[in-house]
Amino acid sequence: MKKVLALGLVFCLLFLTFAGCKPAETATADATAADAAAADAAAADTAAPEAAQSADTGVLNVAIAADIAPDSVTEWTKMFNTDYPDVTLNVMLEDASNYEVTLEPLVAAGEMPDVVGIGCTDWFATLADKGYILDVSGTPGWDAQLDVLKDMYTSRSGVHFAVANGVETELLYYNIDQFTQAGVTSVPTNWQEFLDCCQKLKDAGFQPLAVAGASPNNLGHSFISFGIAHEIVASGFDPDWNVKARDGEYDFSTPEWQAVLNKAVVLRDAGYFQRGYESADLYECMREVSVGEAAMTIQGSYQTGNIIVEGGANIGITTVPWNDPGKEQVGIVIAGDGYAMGKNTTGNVDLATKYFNYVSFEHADVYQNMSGTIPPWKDAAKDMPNAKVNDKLKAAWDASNALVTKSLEPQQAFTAIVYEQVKQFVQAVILGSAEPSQIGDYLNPAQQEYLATLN
Amino acid sequence: MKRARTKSLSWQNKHIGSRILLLLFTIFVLFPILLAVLNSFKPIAAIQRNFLTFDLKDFSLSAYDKVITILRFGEGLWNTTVVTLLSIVMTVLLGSLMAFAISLVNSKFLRTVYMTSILLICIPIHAIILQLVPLLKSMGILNTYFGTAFVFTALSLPVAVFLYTGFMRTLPRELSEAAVVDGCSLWRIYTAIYMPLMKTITVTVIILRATYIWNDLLVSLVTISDATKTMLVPRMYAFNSSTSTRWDLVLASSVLVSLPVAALYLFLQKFYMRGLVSGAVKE
Amino acid sequence: MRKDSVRVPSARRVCLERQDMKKTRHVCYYKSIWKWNGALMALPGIVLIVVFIIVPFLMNVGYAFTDYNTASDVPRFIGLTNFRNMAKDRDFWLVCTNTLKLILTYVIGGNVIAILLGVMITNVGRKFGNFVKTSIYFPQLLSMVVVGFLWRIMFSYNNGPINHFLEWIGVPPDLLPQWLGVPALIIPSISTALIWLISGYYSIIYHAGMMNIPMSYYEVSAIEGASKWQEFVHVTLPFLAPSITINTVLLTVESLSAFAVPASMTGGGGPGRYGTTLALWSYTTYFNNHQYGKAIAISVVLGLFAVVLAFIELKILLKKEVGNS
Repeated sequence: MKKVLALGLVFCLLFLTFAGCKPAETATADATAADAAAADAAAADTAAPEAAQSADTGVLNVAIAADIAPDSVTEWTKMFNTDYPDVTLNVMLEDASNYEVTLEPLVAAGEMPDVVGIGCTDWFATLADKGYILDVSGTPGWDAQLDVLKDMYTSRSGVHFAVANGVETELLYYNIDQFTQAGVTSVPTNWQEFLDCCQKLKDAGFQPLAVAGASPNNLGHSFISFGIAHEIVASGFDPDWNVKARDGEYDFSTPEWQAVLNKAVVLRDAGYFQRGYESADLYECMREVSVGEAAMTIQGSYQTGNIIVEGGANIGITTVPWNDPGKEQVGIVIAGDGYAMGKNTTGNVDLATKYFNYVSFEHADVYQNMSGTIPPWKDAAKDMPNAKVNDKLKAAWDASNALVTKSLEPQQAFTAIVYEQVKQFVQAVILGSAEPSQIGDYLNPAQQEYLATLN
Repeated sequence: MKRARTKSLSWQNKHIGSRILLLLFTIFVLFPILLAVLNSFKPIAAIQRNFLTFDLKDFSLSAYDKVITILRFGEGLWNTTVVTLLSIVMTVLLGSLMAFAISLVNSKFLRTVYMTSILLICIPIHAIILQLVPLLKSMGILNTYFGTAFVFTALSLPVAVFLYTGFMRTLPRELSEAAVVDGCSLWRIYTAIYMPLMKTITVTVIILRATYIWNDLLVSLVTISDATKTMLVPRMYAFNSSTSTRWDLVLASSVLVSLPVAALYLFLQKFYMRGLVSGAVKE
Repeated sequence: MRKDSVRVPSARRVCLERQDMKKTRHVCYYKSIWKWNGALMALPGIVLIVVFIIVPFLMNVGYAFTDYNTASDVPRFIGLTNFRNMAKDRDFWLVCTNTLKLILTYVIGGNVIAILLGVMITNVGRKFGNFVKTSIYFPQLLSMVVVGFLWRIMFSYNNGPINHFLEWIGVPPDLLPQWLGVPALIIPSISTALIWLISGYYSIIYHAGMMNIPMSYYEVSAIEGASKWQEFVHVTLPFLAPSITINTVLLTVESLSAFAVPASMTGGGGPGRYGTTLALWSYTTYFNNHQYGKAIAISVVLGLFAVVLAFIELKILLKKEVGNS
């Protein structure tokens, strides 16, 4: 009996493997041709990549994130293999919320893939300073980027280290129908209107705001972004706080910092969060909004495709009204994850550059179409003519982009050590186990530890 | 095998109660697995709608399609099989040799080895893993099947030695004594006498360690970074991020990765149980 | 005919007699050869263990005293700074408490449930017992990451079967617990997932132990009219004592190295690190904080703690064993 079951399982495995099998995607290449490939690649003509198949040979090791738009990886591999049939492309999959897990072992071994997907964080900037990531200025992708993205992807010592796959911001997603039913006639444009809106929703029996209480990662993006944007940047207190913190001593226990999460606490204490928010993870939070169990959520614009789903609720998008009445809204600028070129271990710099241009610029629309992100180009019409962006997202993005004052998202502003504590702190506040005034207790020790590593 | 149970136990009357409880527990154990398998056959929109129901018209293999293509499943399967096979072969050989020497030869050195290896079972993997990359790199075996296999073997040896020693101590002394009288060397005693007897305990070691190696995340993630040589679970890890929303891919990949081990287990289950019973209980 | 036992410790020279055709030969050899042969046999295994377990562990211990940073140059010796940083960290005591709580619930809960299951399996017939044994072993075949995810779904507040079941039996929606959201419930939830995972294995071991108890003891207790509870305590348990010892140590070690299950279940450590154990803390400090020195210090502390705890448990339980028999 058990033997039959075992055979059955093996059969299932084989069936599923071959049912899902597409024709082999890796082209063949002689691994020892790597040396010859350098000469070949240098001598190969630089015809437009969309043209006839190239005669380049060699091996490339690349790493691309696979959890937001997993099909983009296979699409690119297929296209690249068609255009460069003699190149062996080895693709490693990364987890976009945790690049470190895949890349730390490589760094420990002193290596980096030829082309690597990275995030816009301080750690990657440090890697660029140390030479693990190469300078990519001069590539078409870098030149076509928005200036603000160029700034964000420049390391301390001036290395231009990546091309973004999109430009993002934090937006408010709301349920249009529930707004109407609750009597909310216009989208809130300041904090007071936002509170009134939440109250009306609550009175009408809806759950006003969905929050991912179980995900420090997600919490570290939303509320505190706007807290910092308004209390620290727009108020004029310390617009360059992130540079100062990176270069020296910084005190996070000043009254301005202690007020950063005050508004989040107001929401928490008024009971506007959805039921079960303490254990809701990002998936649950977005699911509740897409099916209509909660009315609003504040998420990054890159989540549009996950919140506005087919067959889901009627969702609208707008900028986040964190501003006090009479004050201006502040926009959050987020550099999407990017593509970088790693310290070259296979020796095929030219080939690597070709693949880099492939994914970062020439065929960047593959990722864009699957994820719905905003193109990172100064002239999107020219550089990505067939970009598919959700209309509502485009409108909201334009509105956010038009805001005069901009602030950075915490993950891209804090150093890694401090950001870990930021995440924990925001979660503690949202869950009620800490108060905003304790921000110094969380962040200052981390800042001290960070400074100790600079010596 | 000693059947020590007959009807004269005082609590044989609780048969029905035990049966019911055991049935309930089995359902409790199998339920999450069933849920995962069923949901792996639903598209993500259906999973989002309701996790606990299963509509036949929702049935789709799209998740499996995607997983196999994106993870390059065949390649991962091959890599994992090679590494597991290498590790198991080495573990069985080296482990049984060590246990044989320990149980037969009276040597202070070997006694210390035994005690140390028992203690090593207690060291959690985290205390070792962070230095594996520099170590393997300096030996030149980073990113190779053998490098990873060596690490897995080293990690499996303490348990293997423990099980084999326990088993060998149950074998009567006369076996080896008779062989010595005939003028056998230690090696001959091992190959001619002990090896044929070890089949059952070897199956136990195989299933225990193969499961561990197949399903291991940290060691395989850290020691292999070459994209063509990565094993299955690290590949799967790309989907399992804490912000992952693609439950369909997560579940489909989990099912696929577990199938081979499940098949192996069912095949060898009888011997495995026998080995556990005979070998694992002794000190 | 003189025939020496081959295991006499003090004999250096062993002489045996062999009948060879019509002659009687003395075959003498030195026992020391056996020792060399034995060491040689064990050598490959020893080499592997030393190179791939002991050396990295010692390297780790060494690096814990430096400011080791993989992306930088030569590490400097900084003494106990890493350990001090670890102890000063605001999460240190919480993580230690979590780890201890997990060990207690997991080891005690796991042992109790495994023994109960073993008893029940021993009671029912062979066919049914085999079916149960095979079925409850399945969780062992899954990867820990998968187990963590499955139980994240199970304990999910809105979507999870457990809360749906509670609702079905009449618990009002307001009282439905947030298994992974309330600090007090996280460690028990993780323990439940872990016990689900290992009950199949340990119950089989206990069942095997019970099968090996000679019938005579039970007959005696039946004659003396002992109740089933007394029978259990005075006959079954003492015979299971060695198994309990080993399994307790194994369970302790497993709970200390459990990191994938808490990580997947709590999405990185639970609300406010209430779901973080030492192992998980070492992992996040290494990969997310990039504080290699501190992470290594944590892992060294974890390793030493595991060995010490195992030692203590062995001492206590071995004494009880001897006392019992």
